[in-house]
Amino acid sequence: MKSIRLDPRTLIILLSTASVVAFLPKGLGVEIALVSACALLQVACGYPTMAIKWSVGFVVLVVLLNAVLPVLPITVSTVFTISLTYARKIYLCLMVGALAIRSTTVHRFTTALQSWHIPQTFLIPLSITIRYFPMLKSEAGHIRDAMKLKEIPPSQRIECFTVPLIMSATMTADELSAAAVTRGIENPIASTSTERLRMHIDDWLCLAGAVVLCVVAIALA
Amino acid sequence: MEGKQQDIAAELSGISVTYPSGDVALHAVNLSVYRGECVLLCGRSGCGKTTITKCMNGIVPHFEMGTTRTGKAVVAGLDIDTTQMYELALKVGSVFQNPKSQFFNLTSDDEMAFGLESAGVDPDEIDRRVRAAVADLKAERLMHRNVVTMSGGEKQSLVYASVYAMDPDVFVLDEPTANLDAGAIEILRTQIAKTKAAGKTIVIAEHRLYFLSDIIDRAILIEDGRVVREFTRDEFTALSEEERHALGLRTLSDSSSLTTVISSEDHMRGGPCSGQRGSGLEVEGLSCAMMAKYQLPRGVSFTARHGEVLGIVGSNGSGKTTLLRCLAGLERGRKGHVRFDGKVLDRSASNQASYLIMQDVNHQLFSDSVENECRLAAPSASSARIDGVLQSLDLLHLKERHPMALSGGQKQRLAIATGLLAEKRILLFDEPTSGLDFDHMVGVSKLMQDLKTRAVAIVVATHDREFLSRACDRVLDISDLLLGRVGGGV
Repeated sequence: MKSIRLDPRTLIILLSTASVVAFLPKGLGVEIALVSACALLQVACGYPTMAIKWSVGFVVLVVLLNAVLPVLPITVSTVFTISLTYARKIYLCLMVGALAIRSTTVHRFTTALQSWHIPQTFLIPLSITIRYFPMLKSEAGHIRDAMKLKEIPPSQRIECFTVPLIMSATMTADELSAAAVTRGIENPIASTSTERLRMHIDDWLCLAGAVVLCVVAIALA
Repeated sequence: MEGKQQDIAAELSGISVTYPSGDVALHAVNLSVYRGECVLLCGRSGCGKTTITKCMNGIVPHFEMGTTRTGKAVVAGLDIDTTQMYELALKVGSVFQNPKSQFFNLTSDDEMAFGLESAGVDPDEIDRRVRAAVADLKAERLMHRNVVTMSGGEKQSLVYASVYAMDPDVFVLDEPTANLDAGAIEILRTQIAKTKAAGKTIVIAEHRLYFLSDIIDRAILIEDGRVVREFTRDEFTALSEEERHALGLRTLSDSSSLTTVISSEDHMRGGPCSGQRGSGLEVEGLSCAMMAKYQLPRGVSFTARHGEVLGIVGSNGSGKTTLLRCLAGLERGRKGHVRFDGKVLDRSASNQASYLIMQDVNHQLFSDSVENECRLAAPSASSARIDGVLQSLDLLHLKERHPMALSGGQKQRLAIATGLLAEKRILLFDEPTSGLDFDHMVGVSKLMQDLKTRAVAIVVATHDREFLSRACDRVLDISDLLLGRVGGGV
């Protein structure tokens, strides 16, 4: 079966729906139904491994909360109960979020936001920020290596890490902006996009399914 | 007269530039570039050639606000002063030094479309132009890729193709090869040649000259912010070595300076070198997890005796940097033997004994002054010793300076100073001359000669052949290992 490719706008709506549902009180049955629905969606989008991981993760989470934590000493269990309960609350958001990150690109995402007339002054910094993360990671790796070659006293480690990182970020910001303006990023004309986003039947079906699940969840709450 | 006017693609008249610091970068420069010409701007670091490119692509005065510029600049028929940057972007394409900081999308296809999308071009037209650019530049290998996993050379190639897709009239290139190795430079050369063949005008500021010798029409020598000489291609390529060195220019031919360096197997076995067995750095069958993962040469063996500089060469992605990192104990899963002066060094002992001077030395300077940087490296060193080491590296007069306020060469020497102060005995250099002009490259090779006398082992990974022939006593080519031609074995 061919996997479906959701429009980023569908994913954004699904994500917002999931965050609303997250804070509704719901029984275990409804929870399982919702998680299964998300897992099915992940499979349909072509990520079966992702679906398996998140489903197993949910089972482990529920078992920990319902079976393991109650038998642990109270001092230990309180520490974990709060964070694990919270994780369980937002589990749907995490699942849809994981799917969104894997299945769409920043370019598709910004194109979607453009179609909703989100202003460029917001979109440009957003896409540059996302684009900067991988670079930040590699810079941080270089700096950590450089620190390993020196015996740096623990008291100075944070400073020694952040100073070169900020220096490099400043330089990168400058160079990136220079490259951006020479490519015409400031052009006031409405940008076009090669993504040609269109809501397909799959998208509408997903949204309809999400509405039905939401209504049922609210009715049972 | 009218016809002549039309033929000018870029014209600077009486351009003077003063930076916010008060430094004057250009003094009343006059320069005309004709349509379809490829003009090289050359000269020592800091001579002003980059500033000329900035005056042509509008960075000065539109982007660098504190910089003042007088005179008149007209490029592709547009008066720079009265034209918006986004209008210039359609006529003037710019490629800069650093491949890491010139792309905005994480996938190559989106990046190719970026400039045209900003200009509001119809998506079908964008697709057509991107396809044409890819075909022209033979850039198929760059498409449908995640930019993060591309090599520096591929990124620069993508940046060039993205600019090419916008179809500007004038290309302004500012040291585009500063961070590239020989293979990537060759690809860039063919891209530039193709651009010229398409009738475009190209202005390029560069230190590396050999790859341009058959593309350029004219070379313009800049000194202290002034145009001092102009050469036709024939005059330029006919410069003798002495004249070239006097002008501070790099080699014009790729291979001539290489003759004595690379032979093969005797390097692996210690070869004809000074010093005796059991002294210096001896490496046998070195491997690490990273080498296995990326199928780099494994089981590498070589020696670097006291009093010699061992050069490591190899094509793009052949694992030079990984080999150095492995020697420095930075790579996991290390196998094989490393000895220094007969003493076996395990991974953590290697880490203690060696110091890697990285290609981007900014990553390894942490402190707020040159002196404190030294104290951080060697808390127990006496002031006299610190002064001594700084003196020997010509840094003593900069003791109070902030490391980030030093020049590139000074930063590099400071990193070396900290290594020496921390009693590091194995000095590893990763591309120490990338982006350096002739004089600075000679400076680094002299520094190597000086370091040789300090009972340390020196290993240098480089693709700078001119430097290699000056600085290194022996050479290990790890591409050979990959092909199974010498030494090695797993």
